[in-house]
Amino acid sequence: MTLSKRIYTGLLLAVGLWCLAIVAAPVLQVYGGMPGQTIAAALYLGFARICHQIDGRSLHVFSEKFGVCIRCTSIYFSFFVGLVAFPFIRGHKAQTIPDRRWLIVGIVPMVLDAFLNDSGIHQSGDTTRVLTGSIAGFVLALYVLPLFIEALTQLSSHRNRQGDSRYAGQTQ
Amino acid sequence: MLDKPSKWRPALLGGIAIGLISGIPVISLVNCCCCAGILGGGVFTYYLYREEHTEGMIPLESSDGLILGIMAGLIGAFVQAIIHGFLILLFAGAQEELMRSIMGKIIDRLEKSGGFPSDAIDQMRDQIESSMKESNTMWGVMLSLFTSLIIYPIFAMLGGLLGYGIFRTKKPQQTQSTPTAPQ
Repeated sequence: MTLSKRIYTGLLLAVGLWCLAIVAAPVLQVYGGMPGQTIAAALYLGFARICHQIDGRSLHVFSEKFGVCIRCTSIYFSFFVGLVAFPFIRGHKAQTIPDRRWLIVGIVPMVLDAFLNDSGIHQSGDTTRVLTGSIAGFVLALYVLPLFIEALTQLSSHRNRQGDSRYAGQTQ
Repeated sequence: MLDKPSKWRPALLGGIAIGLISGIPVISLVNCCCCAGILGGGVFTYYLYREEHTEGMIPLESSDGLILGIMAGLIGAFVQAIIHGFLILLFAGAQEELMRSIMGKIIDRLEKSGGFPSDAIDQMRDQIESSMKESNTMWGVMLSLFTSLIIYPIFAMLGGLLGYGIFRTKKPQQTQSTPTAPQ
């Protein structure tokens, strides 16, 4: 397995676990017993650092809310979908970073939806939250993945070069 | 070619920015939107680093953005914990009262704007009340530091990478030798 494939797999697993934790929080809360409820409390506490977790703005399973709100859930799950889709859309070897205009196109609808809702100009519903959040997450995945692979590949090659020069210094 | 500038100064400034955004009450609400404050802090850190970079230096790489983001995130977690602890020591009950009145005003404004349903407003009130009680202890500060040390570097790293992507200068296409995976 090449280094870029290993990085890709690692990131996919990490984001997959993150998404699993979002869904696991309510499931463990209901069916986990005492240890499960402790883990669920820890998950809710951790996610509280990054999301408002308002009940009325969250998806529910077994009458318990997800770890994060509906907009954040859409972002993280579509980020995961974006990672899965990446090899089919751009290929494993596509290390070129998409144009920054795509990033703006992806994020602006979500920012507008949140801003206009909070300022009372437009009423955003679950549909707009899911839609704009999903677009943002998907675009972010396509944008961040090549950068992440490139960065870790560079770090690895720097480390190898340092190791080589240290080895050469010792043998001289 | 000259070496790249030191990462410490921009990481420290970016970390302080992240810590201030996340530690100061009310402003910290920015992070409720998918850690926007921390992501922005990561972008800001990379921007500062890029400003220190001059033409004769080794070109910037995406790994710089990644490392800068992680450094700023870690520093930001500690700065946030210090601010949090400092506010508790200084104001204790007074800070809680002040926060309650500020949050009350903000929530009233949100209620009047009509952007939030009334049940969401009530839940927001309950949540703010319970989170204020939980966080206003030293145990709360330690717990928040622990979660911040995990979450902040992740999101600031993403911010650093995005910063690299946003501020990078377009180079002419050149053949790049892809490094082989270590065996």
